[in-house]
Amino acid sequence: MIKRKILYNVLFVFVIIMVLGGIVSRQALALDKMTMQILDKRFDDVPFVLENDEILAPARSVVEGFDGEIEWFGLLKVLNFKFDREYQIRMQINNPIVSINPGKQDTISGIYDERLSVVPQIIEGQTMIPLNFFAQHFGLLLKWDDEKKIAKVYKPSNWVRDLSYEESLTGETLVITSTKKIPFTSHVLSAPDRLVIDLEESALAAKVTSLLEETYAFKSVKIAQHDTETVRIVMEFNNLVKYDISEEMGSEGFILKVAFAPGIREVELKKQGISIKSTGEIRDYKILELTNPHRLVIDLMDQTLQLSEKTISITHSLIKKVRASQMSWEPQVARLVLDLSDKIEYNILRGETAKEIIVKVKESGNTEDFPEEKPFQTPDELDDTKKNTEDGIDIVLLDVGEEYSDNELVSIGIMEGVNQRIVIKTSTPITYNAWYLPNPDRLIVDLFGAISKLQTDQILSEKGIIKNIRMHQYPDKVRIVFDLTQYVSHQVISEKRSQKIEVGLGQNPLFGKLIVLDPGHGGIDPGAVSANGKFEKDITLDIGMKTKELLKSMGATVIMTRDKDVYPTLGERVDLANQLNAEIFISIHCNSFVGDEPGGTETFISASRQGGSSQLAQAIQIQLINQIQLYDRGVKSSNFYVLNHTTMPAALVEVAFLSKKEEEALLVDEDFRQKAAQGIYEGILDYFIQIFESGEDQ
Amino acid sequence: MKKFISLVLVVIIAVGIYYVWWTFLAGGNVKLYFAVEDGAGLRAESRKVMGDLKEGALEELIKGPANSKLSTTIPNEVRVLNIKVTDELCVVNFNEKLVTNHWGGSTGEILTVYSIVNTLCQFRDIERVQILVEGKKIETLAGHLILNESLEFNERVLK
Repeated sequence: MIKRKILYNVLFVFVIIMVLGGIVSRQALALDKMTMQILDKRFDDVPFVLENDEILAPARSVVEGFDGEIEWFGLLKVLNFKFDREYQIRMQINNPIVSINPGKQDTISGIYDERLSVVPQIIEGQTMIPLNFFAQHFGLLLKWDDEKKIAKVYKPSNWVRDLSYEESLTGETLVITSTKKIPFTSHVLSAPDRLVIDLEESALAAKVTSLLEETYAFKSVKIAQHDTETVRIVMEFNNLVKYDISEEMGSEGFILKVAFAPGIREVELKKQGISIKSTGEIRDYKILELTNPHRLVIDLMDQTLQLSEKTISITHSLIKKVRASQMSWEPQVARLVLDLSDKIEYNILRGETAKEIIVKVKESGNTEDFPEEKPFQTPDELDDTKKNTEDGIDIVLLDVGEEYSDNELVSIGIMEGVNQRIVIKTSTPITYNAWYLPNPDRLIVDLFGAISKLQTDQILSEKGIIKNIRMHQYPDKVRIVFDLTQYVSHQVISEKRSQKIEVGLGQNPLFGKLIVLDPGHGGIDPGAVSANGKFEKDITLDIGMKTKELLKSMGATVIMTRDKDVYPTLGERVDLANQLNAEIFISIHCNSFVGDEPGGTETFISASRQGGSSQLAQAIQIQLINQIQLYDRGVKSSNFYVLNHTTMPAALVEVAFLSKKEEEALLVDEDFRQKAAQGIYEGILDYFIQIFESGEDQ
Repeated sequence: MKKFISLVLVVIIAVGIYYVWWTFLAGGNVKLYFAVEDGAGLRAESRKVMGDLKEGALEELIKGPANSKLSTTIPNEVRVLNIKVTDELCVVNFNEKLVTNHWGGSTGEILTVYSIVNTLCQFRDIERVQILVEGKKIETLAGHLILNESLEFNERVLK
């Protein structure tokens, strides 16, 4: 009896081995094997299939590589992937639609569908999924070596981190920013007219989104990860345009600019006449009067035509309509033809900006003269107070006239440069005194025995850290007060008695500093949630943006890890700061714990990596407490991801407790958030002043 | 009568032995690290647990402190799925509630993580603790601390 049982068991095991072995050997025959490397994890002998140049790999290995987990719903053939926290990706066999974060209510921004180019499928009993989709999803790149059969998923060397738009006198410009200098290619496609720019070796940062506005030179600008190592930008145009692509290396990283030549965007009837508006400066034009029928032809030089309608009807007694055309492309001349009902007289006026001209018309023979108009000026002539000194530094002078009496104030000037310099000229040498007064910060220069005929409206309002200049004539002196946005130090450069008084203003320690601000959490990750349902991510973003404005106003370059409700991974945030080689990294958070007791403000630094972080954190903690007056929990150290992995001084600020009722009420208050931003800003400023004074900043 | 007295004696001795076994021999006293009320750090509370001391300690830790001046550090719904110690590394696996029901915040995250790590590191055979959730390493619990590496006893957070 027992013998028989053993026999059965042996037979059973044998059968199982046969069946399993059969499956294994069949697979071995059917599917090629590759080596798959996902970051630092290596998988050997992984079966794979190449379909439309996309690699399909076994779901289990892929998920293990990305530290996720997998659920299989056999009936519906649905694969549910889960990655750190609650992040979910749902796929179905043979279905190209992928759901991201399906069935979640609280994180609206995190739910969406994507379309796969290659569907998940079961091949030889293996569930195969597209590897590249996952790589892209985690902001990583996939490289396929077809000879050695190695698929490598790795961190990109460059992030394309911003897409923005600028308007200036030279026209409209699309600005693409990335962390490193990268090769790129561009080409033009037609029907519809498109410009395609491919940025190589790059991954797209989560916060970069397409621009979909039709009021610009383009109809839309779409940006996407095109393939493993290429970020593709596709611009679709409304009209034919002329553009110029240029590159530059700045403190913010690598900048690629697509500058569009100025174009006529608007022609409309206004009170003064027909207004012609360009996207850039209208420098030059030619006018031709034609008769039979009466027409006025205006050729606008160096302009493209960007009007939606080529014929503009106008309700005017003399003008029937305006026709527009691109006369030539080389050089670019846009032509406007005014069809007239009679012979007219005209006058061309400059509009409010250099981007506009106005054609004023009246019936011929009308004896009433045109009112006095400003003659047409080129912009160079417009600003005649601007002169260049020999050494090329921009200097703004305010001269009153040619004839001066003794001891008369001639001019007040500000020399720009890293250090601002005040230059006061008098007609004869005089004695003076320059001194500082705090609250608010002012620099005062007394000119003893001087007189001034300068008008107050001739005085500059704003330049660098000088907010305002005021002047008073006293019986015995002229006092000039320079209101400052911030004071560090000043230094009298000129002799005690001089005709040219020079005072240097201490360097603004924030000027040109590259600072990365990291508003915590975002997108799928709300961070702490208060009892009233307020999200930490919204508060940190607002404080971050407010801090950015303050720092920017002092000339610092501020890069945000996010400026909208998106979730860059912790790695992505750190990469950004490290690749840009930022001076400091500040992560902004709100705290949370159990109960209503814990409250206050604290700032964290890394427990394993110090290097200036402690000084930075102390300065921020002190200034923040000073502003928001909450309980001081001090500076603490902990092994936080963003603090341990950044390579520059870094701090993480916990402004207040969202879990404490009183502090939640403060955090939702705009004024409080502004104060918090002020505190963080003052702390950063303090830190840079300390660095500046210790002489490390040379 | 003699029989009755000896019966009583036997009962008394039995009770005595049981009492001695219960207080001195069975189970053991463990330190549980709970948060001080304002969340400024962790403080140990002693408690007697039966059975496996490590599992018992974590179960009691989840139940929360007896001292009203201390505060709980782990969401109620969290369960320990398993604990394994090899070469002084303790791998402790929790259910997903550790992440999904967590209150967030740097303070919240530090106190949760180190109440677990410090409580486990009191045992002689444990030097480091690796926290898993549903059997997987997690990058972070609430977006600040690095959790895909093992952690050791943290003295800085003690109050």
